[in-house]
Amino acid sequence: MQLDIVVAFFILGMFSTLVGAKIDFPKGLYQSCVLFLLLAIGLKGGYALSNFSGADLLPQSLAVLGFGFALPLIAFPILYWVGGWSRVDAASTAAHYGSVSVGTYAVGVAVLEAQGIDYEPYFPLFVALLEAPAIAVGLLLAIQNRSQLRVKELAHEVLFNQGVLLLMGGLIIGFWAGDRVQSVLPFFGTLFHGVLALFLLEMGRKAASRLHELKSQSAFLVSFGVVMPLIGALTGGILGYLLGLSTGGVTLMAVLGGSASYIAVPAALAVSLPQANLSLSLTASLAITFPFNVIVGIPLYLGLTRYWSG
Amino acid sequence: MTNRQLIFGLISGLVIAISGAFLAKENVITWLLSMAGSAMIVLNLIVWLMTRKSQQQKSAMAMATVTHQPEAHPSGS
Repeated sequence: MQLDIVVAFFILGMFSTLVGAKIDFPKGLYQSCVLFLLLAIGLKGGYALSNFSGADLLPQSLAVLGFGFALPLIAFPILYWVGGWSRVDAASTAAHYGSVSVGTYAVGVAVLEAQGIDYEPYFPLFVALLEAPAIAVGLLLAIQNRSQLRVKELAHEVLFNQGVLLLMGGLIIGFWAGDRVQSVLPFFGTLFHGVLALFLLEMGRKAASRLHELKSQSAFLVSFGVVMPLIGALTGGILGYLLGLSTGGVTLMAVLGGSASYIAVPAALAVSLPQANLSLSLTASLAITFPFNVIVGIPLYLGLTRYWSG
Repeated sequence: MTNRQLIFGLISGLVIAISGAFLAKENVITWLLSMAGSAMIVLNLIVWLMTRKSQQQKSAMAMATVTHQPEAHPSGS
C-alpha cells in the first residue's frame, strides 16, 4: 500500500522542524488553508446533497449524532480512572476525542479520491454534526456544579464556531445553488489537494513542535493517543457498516470516529472551561493522534474495510 | 507514572503489535501498526524505569537528610 502524496507533505513538515530548518509559513496562510478546506468540503457536500434523493439521511444523521455523544463517554473513563487525571482534564480531553478533525477527514477524502473509491456525498453533514455534541458532553462531565455552566456563551461557541459555521454555511450554499456551484468549483475543487498539501506541511511543523511538551505524561499520552483513535475508528466503522454505508463511507466514518479535534474544541473549551489544561489535550490530539491517523490510521481503516467487505 | 498507566500501555501496545503483525502478514496493511505497538511497549517500559529510578534517588536523598540531622536536645535542662 502506497503512502498518499499529501501525507508526504506532512512528513516533510515534521522533518523540517525536527532538524531545525526554518520554513517561513505565514500564519495568515494557515488560516486561509483552514477556511478554504472547510468551505470546499461544505460546498462539495451541499452540491452532492442537492442531487441526492435518499430517505436514509435522517435516521443516519440521528445515529451519527448519537455517536458524537457516545465517544467522549468512552474516552473519559480511560483518562480519569486509568490515567488518574483530574476530572476537568479528563473531561476536556474526552471532548477533543469525541469531536472530529476536519484536517483528518480531508486526508481521508483525498486518499479515497486518489484510489477512485466512492463514498456517500453527504458526509460533510456528518462532519458538522459530529463537531458539537462532544463539547456539551465534555462540559457536563467536567462541571459538577451546574450553576457554573455559562450556557449562553457555550451555546454560541458550540453552534457558531468557525468549523461548524463554515462547514454548514458551505453545505447550505452548495445545496441551495445546485448546478451554479460549477462557477466556483474550479477554485474549490481543483485546488483542494494542493491546499491540503500546504495545510499538512504546516500541521507537520505544528505536530513536531509539540513533541517536547510530552514530558512526564509521555508514555500514557502516547498510549492513549494511539489506542483511542483505534477504539473510535472501530466503533465508527461498525456504525457505518450497520447504517449500510459503502466501503468509502465506512472508511470515512472510521476516520471521523478515530480523529480528534484540535481547532473547534480547544476554542470552545478555552471559553467555557478555562481551568482545563488544554496543553495536554492539544498535545495528544495534534502531536500523537493526528500523525498516527494520517500515516498509519487512514490506510489501516481503508485496508480493514476492504478486507471485511471482500 | 502509575502502575495502572503502565499496564494500560503494555497491554494495549501488545494487542496493537500482534494485530498489526497479523494484518501485515495478510497484506491488509504495512508493518507500521505493528511497529507503533512495539514502540508503545518500549516507551512505557523506559518511562516506568526512569520514574522508578528517580523515585529511588529521591527516597535515598530523603533518608540521607534524616540521618544527618542533629538530635534535638530538650531546652532548659
